[in-house]
Amino acid sequence: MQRLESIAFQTGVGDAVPAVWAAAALITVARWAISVAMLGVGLLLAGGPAVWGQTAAPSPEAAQIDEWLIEADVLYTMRESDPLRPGRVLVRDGRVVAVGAELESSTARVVKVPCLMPGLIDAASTIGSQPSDDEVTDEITPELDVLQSLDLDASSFQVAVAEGITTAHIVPGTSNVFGGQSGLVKTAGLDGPHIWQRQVAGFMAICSDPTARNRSRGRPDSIYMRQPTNRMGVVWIVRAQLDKARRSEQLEPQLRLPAARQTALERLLLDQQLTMTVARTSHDLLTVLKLAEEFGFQPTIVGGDESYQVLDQLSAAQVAVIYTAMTTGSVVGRERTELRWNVPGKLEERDIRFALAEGRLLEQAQFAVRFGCSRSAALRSITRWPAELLGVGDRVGSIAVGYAADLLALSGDPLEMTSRPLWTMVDGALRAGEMDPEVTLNDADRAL
Amino acid sequence: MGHSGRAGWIAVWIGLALGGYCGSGSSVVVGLQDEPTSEPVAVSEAPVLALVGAQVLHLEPLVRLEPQTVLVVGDRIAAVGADVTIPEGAQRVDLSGLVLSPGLIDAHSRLWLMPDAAGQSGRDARLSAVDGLDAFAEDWSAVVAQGVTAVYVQPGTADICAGTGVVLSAVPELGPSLKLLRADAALQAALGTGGANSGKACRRQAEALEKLLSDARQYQKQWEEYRRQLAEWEKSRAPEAEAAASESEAGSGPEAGGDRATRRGGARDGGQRRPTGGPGRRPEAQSSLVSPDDDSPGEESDSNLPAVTGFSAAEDPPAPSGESNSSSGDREPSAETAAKQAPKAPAVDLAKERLVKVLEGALPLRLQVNHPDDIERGLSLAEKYGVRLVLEGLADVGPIESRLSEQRWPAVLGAWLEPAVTAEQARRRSAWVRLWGESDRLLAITAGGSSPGSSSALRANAAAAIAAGVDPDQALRAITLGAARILGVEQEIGSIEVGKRADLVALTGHPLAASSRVSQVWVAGREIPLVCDPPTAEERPAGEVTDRRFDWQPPETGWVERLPRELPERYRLTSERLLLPDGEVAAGTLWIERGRITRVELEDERGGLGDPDSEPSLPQVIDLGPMWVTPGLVDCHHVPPAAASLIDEPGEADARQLRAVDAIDPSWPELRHRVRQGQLVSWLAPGGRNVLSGRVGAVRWGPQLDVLSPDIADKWVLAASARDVERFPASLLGQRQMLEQLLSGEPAVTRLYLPPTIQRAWADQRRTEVEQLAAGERWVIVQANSPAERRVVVELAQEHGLRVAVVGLRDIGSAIDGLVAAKAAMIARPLGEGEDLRYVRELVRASEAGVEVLWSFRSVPALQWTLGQAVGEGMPPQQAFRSVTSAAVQTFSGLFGAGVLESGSAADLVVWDGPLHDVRSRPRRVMLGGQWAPDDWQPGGE
Repeated sequence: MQRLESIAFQTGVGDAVPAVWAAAALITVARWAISVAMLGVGLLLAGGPAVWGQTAAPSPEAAQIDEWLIEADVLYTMRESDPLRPGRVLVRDGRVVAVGAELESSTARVVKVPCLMPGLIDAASTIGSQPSDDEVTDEITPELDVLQSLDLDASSFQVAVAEGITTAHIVPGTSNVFGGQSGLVKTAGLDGPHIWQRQVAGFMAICSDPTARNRSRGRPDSIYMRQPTNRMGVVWIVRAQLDKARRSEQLEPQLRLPAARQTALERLLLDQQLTMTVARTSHDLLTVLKLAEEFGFQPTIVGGDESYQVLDQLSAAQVAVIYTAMTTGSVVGRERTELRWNVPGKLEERDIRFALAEGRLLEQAQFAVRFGCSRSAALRSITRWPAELLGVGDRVGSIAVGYAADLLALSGDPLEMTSRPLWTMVDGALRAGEMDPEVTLNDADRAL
Repeated sequence: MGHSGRAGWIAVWIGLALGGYCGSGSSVVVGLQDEPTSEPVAVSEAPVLALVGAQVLHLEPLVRLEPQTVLVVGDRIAAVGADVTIPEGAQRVDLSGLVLSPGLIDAHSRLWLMPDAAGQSGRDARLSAVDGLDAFAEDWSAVVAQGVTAVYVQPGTADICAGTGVVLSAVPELGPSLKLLRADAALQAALGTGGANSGKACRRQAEALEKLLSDARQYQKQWEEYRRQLAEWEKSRAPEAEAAASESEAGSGPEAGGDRATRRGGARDGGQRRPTGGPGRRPEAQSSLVSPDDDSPGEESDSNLPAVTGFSAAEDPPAPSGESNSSSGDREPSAETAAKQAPKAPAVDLAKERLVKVLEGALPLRLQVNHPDDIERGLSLAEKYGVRLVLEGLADVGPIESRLSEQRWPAVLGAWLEPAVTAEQARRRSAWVRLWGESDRLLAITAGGSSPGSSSALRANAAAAIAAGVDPDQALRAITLGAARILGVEQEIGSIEVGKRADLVALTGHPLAASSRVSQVWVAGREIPLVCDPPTAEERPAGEVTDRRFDWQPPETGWVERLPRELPERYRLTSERLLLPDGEVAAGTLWIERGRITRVELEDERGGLGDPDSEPSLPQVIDLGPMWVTPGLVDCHHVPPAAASLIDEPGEADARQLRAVDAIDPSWPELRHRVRQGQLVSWLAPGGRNVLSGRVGAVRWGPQLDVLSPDIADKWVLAASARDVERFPASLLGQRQMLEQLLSGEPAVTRLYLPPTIQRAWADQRRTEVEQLAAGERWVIVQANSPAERRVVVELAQEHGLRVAVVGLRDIGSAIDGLVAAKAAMIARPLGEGEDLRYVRELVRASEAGVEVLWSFRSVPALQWTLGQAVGEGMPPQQAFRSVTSAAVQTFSGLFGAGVLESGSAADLVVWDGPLHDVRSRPRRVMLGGQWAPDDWQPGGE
C-alpha cells in the first residue's frame, strides 16, 4: 500500500500535471487496494469453513519443485562450526546434496530465509493417538504396535508440521506396564503423514501410571482382574515377565509366555531394540537403573522429571533422557517450574545425552537456554540428539550431505521468543507455510 | 487512469461475486460512484437483475411452470412475464434449463434459535423468540443450500404460553445481525405439554390459558374505558386547548395547531417515552437485537401487514399529553387545573399487550395441542374469545375431526419424512391428510426437527406429505405461499409476484423432486453463495442430461384399485416400468408361476407373441400400466432393535458363533412396517458390542418369515462400541490384534477356561473359515466410524485379501482411496437431520470411483430423499435403483433366489406409484411369493 501510493505520487509529479491529478491517482490506487481487499474478503467468504479447517497448505506447485537452493542468513546445521553466516543448502530429490557458504545452481529454485535449521524431531509424541488407545485389559502388552491404530488423518499432524516437527516418535501410553512398540512417523508427505519405521523401541512404564484405577480386591468381582495395584506390583510384573522370558527354554511349554510376547521381550533382553522406560521420580529412575543392571539392557529414560537428583547415577550408567517435563503450563507438586526448567542445563553439565519432547519444541529449547542450558545443546536436543537416540542420526536431525531435506525456516534466531516458523520442508517438499521473500527479508532485518 | 479504474471494477465485481452478498459491497459501490467513467449505469440506482430462461413456478390459481423472465430491481420483483423488456445495464442471469421457485418457508424452524432458548417456555406471554436468537450461528448455510429462505421460530412449547415467534430471513444480514421479516408473527401457546399428562393437569392448563385471556380482556376493557374518559375530558377541555394552541402558534411559529399538533407531538416523542410514560399510548414491545432492514421491516414493513397496521392505528394517541405541551411552560396553571380532572391511565402490562393483540385478532395464537380433549378445549377458547388460531401438534385428532373440519383453522404440521411405524402414527397422518390435504385449506408443512439445520429437509417433508396423500399443489403451497399466509408475510414473500421481495431459488428440477439440485439462491435480490458448489453450467439439465423417464408424475388413479384381489397360480404381470437387475427400467412382462418368476419378457422382444388375450393357453395378464414394479428394497445392515439384549453377548468379544437370525421374533412390529414400506429383504446383523460380533443372515420378510441363509457374512466391529475395559479388547489396537490373530489362525484370545476338545473343535472351525475369508469367499461386514478405524479395515483387507463391506463411515471423502484399494463395498445410510449435502456428494464420488454402494436404512422416505439427492449430484438413476435392490444380492451372493426381477427368483414384488428416488412415490401393493401380501401387510394397511 505504502509503495503503491509512492509510485502513484511519482507518476503524478513526473507527468507534471496539477496536484489534483496526483491526488486522483492516489485515490485510484487506494480504490484498487480496496478492491483487492474485497477480493480477499470474497475469497475468504467463498472458501468458508473449508478454508478455516486447514492450516495454510502450500501451493501444489511449490510442493512439486525438486531442486531448491536455500540461502540463509544464518544456517544451523547441527554439525561442527555452527552456525554458518551466511549459509546455503542445495536440495535435490528430497535430499541435501550440498551445504556451504558459497553455493550456486542454475537449475534450482532460489529461496532466501533469515534462518534455517533442521526439521525438529519430537522424541516422544502422542499425535494421532489417544489415551484411550491403550489396551488396558492386560497390563502386559509388549507386542502391541502403537502405529497399528494410529490416526494418520489427525489434524494434529498438520499443526506439528507447522511448528517445524518433521519426524515424530510415536510412543504408547503408560497405562500398561509393558506398553508396546513405538514407531517413527514423518509428519508430512505426498499423501500426508506416513509411517517411517516400526518397532523402534519397546516401552515399559516404571512408575505408578499402570496402577491407576486398579484396586486390590478380596475376591474377584470380574474374571478380568487387572494388575498391578501399586508401584511395587509394577516392578514385580516387570521382573517376573523378564525373568520368564529369559528362562523360557527351561520352562514347561504351557508355562511359557505367548510367542508374540516372548519375541517382544527377547528383543528387549538381547538389546536388539531400544528399551524405553517411563520414569519420573528419583526412586523410579533408580529402579530403572537397578532393573537394567539385573537384566542387562540399556534403558533410555522417558520423563526424567527428577533426574537432577540422581545425576551421578545416570551419568555413571550412561543412560540418555528424553526429558518431558519442560512444560510451560501449570506445574503442580514439589517440582517448581525453575527446577524443571533447570534440568536440561544440569544434564548437559554432566554430559548426559538428552532430548526434549512432547511438542512445542522450540519453546522448550528457549526455556532450557534461559535456565542454564547452552545454545548449542538446546538446539541439538530437539534435532540431532533425538535423531541419534532413535537410531536415525545418520538420516535426519542435521543438515549435511546425504541427509533428508527436512528443513525449518525461521524469521529469526530459533531461540528467540520473537522468531516464528516461516515454512517447513519435509523430504525436499514444502509442507507448511509459504515462501514469501519480502516478508522474510524484512523480518530478517529486524531479527538479526 | 481509465485502465486502473477498470481493473478496480473487475476486482470489485469478482470480490462481490465471491464474497457474495456479504453486503460490504454496497459501501464499495458508493465509494466508486464519484468515478467519472462510463461504467455500469445501475450503480447509482438499485441494481437490476434479469433472470432469463427459467421455468417460473407460479402457485395460484393453479400450480404451473411458465417460461418467463423475472426482473428484479433492488430487493423487489419488478416484472414477471414472457416478454419483459430488459433494461439497459441490467445484469443478465441465464437460468435456462432451471426451475425458478419462490424461496421456501419453514413455518416452524429452530434456525437461529439458541439451543437453550428453543426449549425455554413460559406461562404469561412475556418471552419473545427475538431474544433467543444467535446471529453467529452457522447452520443457516445448509438450510439455504436446500432452497429455504425464510423461517419462523418461536419459544418452546413446554408451558402454556411462552411468547411471540418471529419470521426471519434464513440468510443473515451483513455482519452479526439478522434480517427480520416480521417481529410478532404469532403468540405461542400449548395445552397438554410440559408433563401435563393427567386429565386434571391438562384441564388446569386450559383454565390457566383461559385466565390469561380473560385477564387480558379485562385489561383491554380498562384501557377502552380510560380512552373513552380521556376523550370526554378532551372535549370538555377543548376551548381551553384551542386558546393555548393559538397562543403557542403565536409564540413558536406555524409549526403546529390544535389537535394535529398534539398528535404529531405525541408521535414524535413516543420513542423516548418510558413504558409507563405519558398517558394515552400503550408502548409497543420492540427489540433492538434484530437489525431493522433499511428498506423493508420495521415501520415500513408493518404498513404492509394489515393486522399490525390496524393495531398501530388503534393505538394512535387520541389525546394530547402533558409533554407535548411542555414547550409552553408559561401556561402552567391552566395545565394544572386540567390535570386535576384528567383520568388516570391504567398500568401498562407488556405481556398483556401481546394477549390483547391476540384478542383483537392482530396476532394469531399458535396453539400446540395433541390430545383430542386439549384440542377441544383450545377450539372452545378460541370461539369464546374470538381468537385466530393456528394449530400445531395434533398427534391425535380422534373424535374431534369433524369439528376441526368445520372450523377450518390453518395448521402447521411437521415430520412427514418420519415413517409412520405405529398404527397411531398412521392414523394421525391420514387424519391430517383428510383435514388439510386439499387446496381449500391453509396448511404449512414443516420439517419438524429439533435442530437448527433440520429445516434443510423441508422439501423432503413436503414430498413425503404428497406420498402420504396430500394434494401435490397443496404440498407445494404449504412450504411457500400457504406458509407465508399463516405467518402473515404473504405480502412480502411466498410467491413470484411483482412487488414482492426477490427471494428466489433456481433448481435443476421441480422443487419437490429429491433429485433437484439448488443451483442459485437470491434473498432480497442478492445472490447468496451456497455452501456446496452449485451445479456448473454443464451439469444443468439441458433436456437430455436427466432421464425424463424417471420423473415423478402424479399417480394415475385406479390401477391399484382395479387389481384382482386373488391371483391364479400362473399369470403374467405387465408394466411399463419393470426394474431390471442392472438398474435399468423397461416395459415388459413377468411370467409368474407358483410363486416364482419363470420368464422376463421385455417389450421390444414381445412382438412375436401375438395378442395375449386371443390365445387361451397363455396365462392371464395383470396389467399394472404405468406403475413401477421393483423387487423389494434390501437393507444390508439391519440390526434388530433388540440386538443388544437378544444377540450380543458381551462377556467375550469373540462371538463368531452367534447368528443374528436366531434372534428373529416374528412378532416384531417393525417387520410389518418394513414390508409395508416395500422393504422385503434384510441382511440381519448382530449388534456392535463384540469385535467378532457374529453371523449376518439373509431374511425375507413377510407373514411366512423366510431365512434365506443364516450365514452370508461375518460381522466385525472396529468401532468404539466393541471396546470394553472389562474384557479384551479395550482399544482399537486390541481390536486389531484380535482380528490379526484370527486371520493368522492363532487360537482365539480368550480368558475363559475351555476344555481342550472344545478348543480343538473351535480351532478347526476357525481354520476353515479363515481360509474362506482369505480366499475372498466370505464377506465381512465391518463397522468402522473414525478415520483410524477405517484405516485398520483397509489395511486388514489388503493384507489378507478380505472382501469387506464397511458400514458406519462418518467421513467418506477421505476413505474413498482406501476403499477402492481394498476393493471394499460400503453400506451407506440416509442423510441425517440437518446434515448438509457433503455426505451425498462423497457417496457419489465413491460410487464413481468404483466402490459398490449399498444401503442400511430404517425409513424408506429418508432413503428416497438421499437417493434422489445422489441422483441430483450425478449418480445415474439406474445406479441408484440398483444400489437399493439387486446390488446387494449380486454383491454378496446371487443364490438366494429373491430380491431381483429375473427368471427363477421368487415373485416378491413391490408396486410403486413413482420412481424409487422420489419421496413423493410410495409403495402401493406388495406381492410375496406370487400372491398379494395379506391386507395388514400391505402399504396403508396399518
